Amino acid sequence: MDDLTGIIGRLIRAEVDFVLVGGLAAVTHGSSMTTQDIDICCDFSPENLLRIQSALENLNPVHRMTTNHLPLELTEINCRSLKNLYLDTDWGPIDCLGEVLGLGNYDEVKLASETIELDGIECLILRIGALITAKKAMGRPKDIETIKQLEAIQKEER
Amino acid sequence: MARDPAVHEEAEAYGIDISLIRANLRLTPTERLRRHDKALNMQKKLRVAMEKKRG
Repeated sequence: MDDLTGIIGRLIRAEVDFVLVGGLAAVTHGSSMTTQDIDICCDFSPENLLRIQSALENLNPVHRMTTNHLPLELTEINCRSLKNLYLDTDWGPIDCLGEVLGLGNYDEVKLASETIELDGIECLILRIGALITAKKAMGRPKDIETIKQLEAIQKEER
Repeated sequence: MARDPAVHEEAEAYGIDISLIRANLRLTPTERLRRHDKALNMQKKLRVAMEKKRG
């Protein structure tokens, strides 16, 4: 059974430096759509990537985009060449991105984020305006409804 | 709070159910995520059931 919320909790407890972006960020802002995976933008330093690996321990993380779904086996050395990580786990898929189109690298994404409380623990999430900017930059047909929902949420909150 | 019904005219014309968004906005972020997980798992169960039926 998928437990995307559980994965986020594990990332927070493992002190992973990340910002929640993508469809699940839209859900957290109030969108009624469903998404199949977690998208995070994160610091791609070896230390942080190893924290992600540790957070996903026992959930059988694998590289989702590889033909044989190779297991996630990060080391300080092989971490250095990574730009993105597309993983699947027993609790659901997670995409770790080094940058977000329309916003920039992790530092810029972090500046466009806000803190929310999840189960009493602080978590960074992309602000709604920045999420709309990112979705517009992606320009995919499937993002149009998300953009319209997010704009409606902005109007509700005014 | 009184809301101008025309505010969401475009979104509603697109097919967005504003009542679902309002219901979500009454929840905490954690509750929204949990509710989403439940919906996602239900979708998966239904998909599996349909695949089973189709053989």
